[in-house]
Amino acid sequence: MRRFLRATMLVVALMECGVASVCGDETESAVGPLMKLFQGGRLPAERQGTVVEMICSRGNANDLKVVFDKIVQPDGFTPELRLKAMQWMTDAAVTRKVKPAGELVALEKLVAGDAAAANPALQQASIKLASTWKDAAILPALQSLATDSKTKSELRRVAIEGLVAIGSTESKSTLLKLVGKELPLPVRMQAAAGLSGMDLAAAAQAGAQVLADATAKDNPDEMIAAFLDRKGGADILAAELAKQKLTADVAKRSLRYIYSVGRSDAALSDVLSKAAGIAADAPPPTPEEVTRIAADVISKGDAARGEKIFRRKDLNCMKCHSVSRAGGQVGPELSAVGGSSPVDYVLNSILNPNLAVKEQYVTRIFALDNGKVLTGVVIDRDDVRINIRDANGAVVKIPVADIDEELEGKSLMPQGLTKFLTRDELLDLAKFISELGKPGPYAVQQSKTIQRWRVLRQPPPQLTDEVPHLEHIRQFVLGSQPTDWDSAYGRVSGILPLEELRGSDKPAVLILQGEVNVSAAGKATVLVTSTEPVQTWFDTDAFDSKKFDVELTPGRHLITLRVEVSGRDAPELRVELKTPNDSSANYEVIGGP
Amino acid sequence: MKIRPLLIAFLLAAASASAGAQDLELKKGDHICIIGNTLAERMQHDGSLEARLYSRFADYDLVFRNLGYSGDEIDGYKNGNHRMRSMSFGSQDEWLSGNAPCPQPNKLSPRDQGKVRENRFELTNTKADVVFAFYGYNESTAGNDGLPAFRKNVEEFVQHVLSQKYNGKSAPRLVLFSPTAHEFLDTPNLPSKAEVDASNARIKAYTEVLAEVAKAKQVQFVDLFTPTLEAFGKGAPNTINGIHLNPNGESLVASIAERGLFPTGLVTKRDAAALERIRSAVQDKNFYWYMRYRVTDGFSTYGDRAFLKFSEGPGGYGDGLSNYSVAQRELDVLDTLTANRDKVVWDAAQGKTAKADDSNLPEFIPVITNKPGPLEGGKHLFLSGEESISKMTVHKNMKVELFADEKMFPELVKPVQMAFDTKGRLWVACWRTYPHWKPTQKMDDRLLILEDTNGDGKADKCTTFAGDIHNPTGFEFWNGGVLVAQGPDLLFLKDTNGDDKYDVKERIVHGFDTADTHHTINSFVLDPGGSIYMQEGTFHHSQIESPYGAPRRVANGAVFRYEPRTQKADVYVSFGFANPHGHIFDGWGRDVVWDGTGSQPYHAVLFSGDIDYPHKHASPPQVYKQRTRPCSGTEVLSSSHFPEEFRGNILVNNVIGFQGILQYKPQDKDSSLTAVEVDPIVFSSDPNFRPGDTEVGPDGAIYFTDWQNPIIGHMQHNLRDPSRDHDHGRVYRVRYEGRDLLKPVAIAGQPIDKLLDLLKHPDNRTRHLARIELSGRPSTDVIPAAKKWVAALDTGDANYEHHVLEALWLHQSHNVVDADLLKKVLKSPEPKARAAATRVLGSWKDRVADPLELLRAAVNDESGAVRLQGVWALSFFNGADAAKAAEVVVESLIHPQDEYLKHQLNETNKTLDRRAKK
Repeated sequence: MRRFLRATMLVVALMECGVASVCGDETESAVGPLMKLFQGGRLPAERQGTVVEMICSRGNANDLKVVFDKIVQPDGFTPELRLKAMQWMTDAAVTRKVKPAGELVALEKLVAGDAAAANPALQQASIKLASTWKDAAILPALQSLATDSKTKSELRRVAIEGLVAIGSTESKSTLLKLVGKELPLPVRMQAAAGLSGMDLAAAAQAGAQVLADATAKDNPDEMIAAFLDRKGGADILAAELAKQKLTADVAKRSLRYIYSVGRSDAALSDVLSKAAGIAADAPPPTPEEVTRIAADVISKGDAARGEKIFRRKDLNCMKCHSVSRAGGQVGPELSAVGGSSPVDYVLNSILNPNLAVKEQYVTRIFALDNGKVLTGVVIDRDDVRINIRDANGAVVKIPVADIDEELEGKSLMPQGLTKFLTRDELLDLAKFISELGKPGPYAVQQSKTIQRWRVLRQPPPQLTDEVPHLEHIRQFVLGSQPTDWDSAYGRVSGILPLEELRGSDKPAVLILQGEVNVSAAGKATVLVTSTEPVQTWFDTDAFDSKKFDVELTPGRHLITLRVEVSGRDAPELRVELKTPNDSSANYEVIGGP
Repeated sequence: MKIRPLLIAFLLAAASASAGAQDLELKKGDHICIIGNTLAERMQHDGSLEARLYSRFADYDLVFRNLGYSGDEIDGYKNGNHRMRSMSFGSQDEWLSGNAPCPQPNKLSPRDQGKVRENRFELTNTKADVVFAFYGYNESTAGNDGLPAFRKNVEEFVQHVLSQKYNGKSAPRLVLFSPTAHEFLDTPNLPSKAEVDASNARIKAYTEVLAEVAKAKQVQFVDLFTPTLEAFGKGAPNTINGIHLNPNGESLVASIAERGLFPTGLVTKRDAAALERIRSAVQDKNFYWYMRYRVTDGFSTYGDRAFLKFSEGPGGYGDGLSNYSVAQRELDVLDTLTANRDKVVWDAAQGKTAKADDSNLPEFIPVITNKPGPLEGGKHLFLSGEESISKMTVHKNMKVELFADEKMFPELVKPVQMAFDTKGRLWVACWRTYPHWKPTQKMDDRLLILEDTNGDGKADKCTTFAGDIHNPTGFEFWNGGVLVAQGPDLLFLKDTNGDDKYDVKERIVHGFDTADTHHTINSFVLDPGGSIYMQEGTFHHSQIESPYGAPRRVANGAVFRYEPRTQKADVYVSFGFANPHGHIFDGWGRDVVWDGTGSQPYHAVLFSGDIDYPHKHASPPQVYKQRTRPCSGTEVLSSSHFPEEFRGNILVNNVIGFQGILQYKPQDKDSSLTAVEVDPIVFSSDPNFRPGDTEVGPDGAIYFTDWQNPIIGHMQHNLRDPSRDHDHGRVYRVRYEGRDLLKPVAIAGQPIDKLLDLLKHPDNRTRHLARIELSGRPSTDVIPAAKKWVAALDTGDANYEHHVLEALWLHQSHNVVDADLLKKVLKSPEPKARAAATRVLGSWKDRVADPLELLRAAVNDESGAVRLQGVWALSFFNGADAAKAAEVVVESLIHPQDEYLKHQLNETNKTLDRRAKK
């Protein structure tokens, strides 16, 4: 009760005072004008968001207190803004080490209890915020959430992360419980990942045990990532793994993951390679070897086979590289690479990626005070934070205050990928890449084909069982979330090989989508070529024929296809847009990751 | 230019020696190193001071090495922010002692062994016995607040230098020189009398500190300030901008300096012609020294890319020669060439004429290509300019024609940038020495004028306007002449006698880094308000001195803005570019800058708000995402020759994979703009085809250059790979079939009224040329005419608002503020005009009443584009006004937001915050 009163009194004092900065605060407010605007009458409610975000990103403790009080008032903000404000406030604590002045006990109510259970998103945001503030009062709630078998996976993850953020001995003992063999593997993985930030040795022991108990179906990526992001984490995990016995499949999967994020830590790579039954990392080839392999690439390599290898999921090439604008954006776009790069340059880039790195792909390594080590390409930096793009293409924000050391890094291109390749496969892959952009079948494509496809991950029966009517298209396709879709990429020729999407050789119904951005209205012809039966929707207009005209209007448009993929060999699909001679239409097909 | 008034030699002969002063002691064979800022740097090009000392000590065999560098400050030897250099340039002590190891010896290959020196400065002949230090002007811009730090820095500097043995034997004899006075040049286009007086008061205070410390530490001090303050204003100008000496001033300061160095000694009468012969020999020696000390492509000569090694024979990287051994050997050659010319100077000092004996030059290291061609001897196959057309695919209804190639004009090679002049002639900057000049070869990069005199669509006349320039990575016309990049300098060339060859050549701005020559200031573009923009890439560290205040510094990516009329050079964009190439202004003055390496376009307003060094702007949203890279140049297709639907399209050159000109249609998007790709103009399957620059010609056709080179990468082949082409270059034009070409509009020599009416022309390039022509006319004629022209405009004209904006830009270009005209455009019913006027307001904020109130209106404008520009303009407020600007800028939040406005507000707030914290 006393705490509550004090908090209320502070709010009243602030409100009377108006602008926080004139209230004798120790650090002067950098957002005085914003506070005036926020607390004055001129700001329409629907524009509060940006103002609150800016206050959170630059304000001092008193400024944040004003926002905080709005957060904990039931009707202080709209529910959406409330959630966002909590995220921004979390960010202020992480990046700038600023938290609201005064008592913050009101937040604890949102962490547990009926109100919390009724609004999971708010609950998670509250846990994140309170644990970032190291509010030990929420420990019991977090412990019970983390250990309760009924807790949903996402909430458990947040609870575990909260325990790690608070970092007390209680947190640690809870996590040590959660790595126990009796618990489900996903829980153990989450717990081991969390533990890595508190007790690396114990975490590695647990993590190695988890991997030994895992099967190829379990996804250990996040747990391994937690170790890779720790100073010495990869080596300690490797040492523990040496004491365990992993299945070859788990080892392979883990190995692929570490390569896919541009890492090839020797000890970890060796122990996993051994378990996977593949050769250890070879040293980078000598120039003579490169010359020899290059000669073989030219005489024996097959670009068509190479393209298939390039597209292989286990190699992750397209996770980072795009061709014809379709694919990842982490590494260089490769459509034209063969046009300027000779074969041995291509080979060196695959076998010894650190030999020469183009200026915009030079990485930096950031060692943080808390033992984390992050690597990526710097996008921009200012006084309080550095944004980097990591090997997953994700933008990671690093608080400047947390940086212990900054070093020049290596290429994000994984070294050791070639372990998954036979020598012949390497020749084919290098051949394909060195043909890209040269005149011929792999020249930079001029036709407007859909190259970056979206594939609906779990199409509902309303879409698969029969040709859906418009309402179902509206509901399940146009009304879907971006996260409901995976990406797939066409070959250089524009053909999308459907067997890669079909999964097995069994028939399947796929819902696929491409996107067009129109700048000038006019007619365009859509040409659908497929070995399989296809129905097409241009936005909401349905088409059965394989060639049809559409009247494009400026803006973005969706081309959705329902493809009944048979069990045949090599089912294919290609969709191209053409502009008739008399058309004034101008548009581009959208690519990207 | 080389005529030297006789009397200068005796000017100060009568001045009395100050009491107790001592002469500088020089010994036979002394090495004298000059360090300091632009005052020092410019001395090597003039040579007056050196000539006097060589003459005075004619049999001493003195060795001068000038290590001056634009923007340096006295604490630079220990503070990298005050002596910015690209990677591994060498520290001040390494240079003074002539001793520096190979920066990354472990990266050398077996083939490099035995080819490189342990000490890469072994032949520089620096090893200073005597150090002349010219510091203080840049420091003085900090005013009284900076004095304590300056005193400390001078003390520490003196102590540091005196504790070194640069010659390996003894502490150097150090002379501190004060800055020269700030000269008041009576023009409205340079700092006012009051500003110059304030500047001189500051310089005086800093001079006193130098004198006091020198006295306390017992080192010699030469006061250049007091005598120059006395002398300035009494005759012809002594500086180009108030602070940097012209030949007149160099001569004056040399005599003052000599007097200051030898206060008790006699000043003998000198034969001016003899002194001039020495100076001429000094200039020749210093030419080679400058090429050595400031070698361009430094990043590949000693920086990180020096240690790339290439295969010898077909391939890429390998274990063959590195750039390092090849480029360092060239420095050995330059050092030897310089040393050979020391002897010529000594002879000249003794009245003898001698020619340099260069029989002792080290051998160059031959490079074997890693990309041989299919022909005998690894030669590459080149199609002729005409044949190459058969490999091109052209947009429907368009046609490509050859305008000029190396077969027609052998001097047309390696075209970098081109531009049409007001006479309708095509100027092309040719870079035969690319990637940079190789010593002993001819330095014959050129600026050519191509003309089609008989109107058959082909050039039939080629004039070399300049045939002795170096790395001309960009140029633009201005004030009857032309500004040309010659990194690290910006040159002004002008023909005054009408023979189409320059006879005026001045270095007008210094300090643009050249670490990677294709990152050096390029793609020059003139905005409608009379400023020139120049792009520079990463690795570079530039420092530019200014008569308006502190030096402008920037590292690793920038766009510079230079107002030729006022000589203001500023960092327009500080952003982590890889290598920006391409910058356009649309009809409303909106500009887009491309990071060439990744071909990423950015709406420039989003990263050109004011930002204080060393901060850099955060990454703004891109205009569009391009499918290919890299971009070499850009243009707006604004031509009445093409059907209207093409008007305003953006042309983007691309040189790898897709080798051609892409076309994008821009559209407004929220408060900014986007663009979508439409059919390309042209592309080619000739592997050598590399369209470099594109511009709409006076006939309305699209002209473009072809760099024509089998090799495009700087990084993938040795700098001196013999497969780099030095002999080809083309210009093509693209016309629209079935439509007549335009009849070129008369511009050169037209009366001002006619030129003003051309500002109504729908084609951007025609208006652009009219503006250039007007830039060369007296402002006192242009501005009254412009006011009359505006008043007489038909308000019912559909383009009335644009015409008034043109008049406002003309005022800006002539540096004449008209607040009423500005306010009129700020209230234009056309939002794009209001946004453009808000940009002008940003530049005029110190010269109009209540700028913050005008900007308050802008950030509350109903148009997002105007608000965006208003938020931009508020970033330029400083001092107490920064807090007021911060109050105003948040009002933009009352209105609808988008990603651009949010980004812009964050950027402006960051700058204002930092200033508040100061």
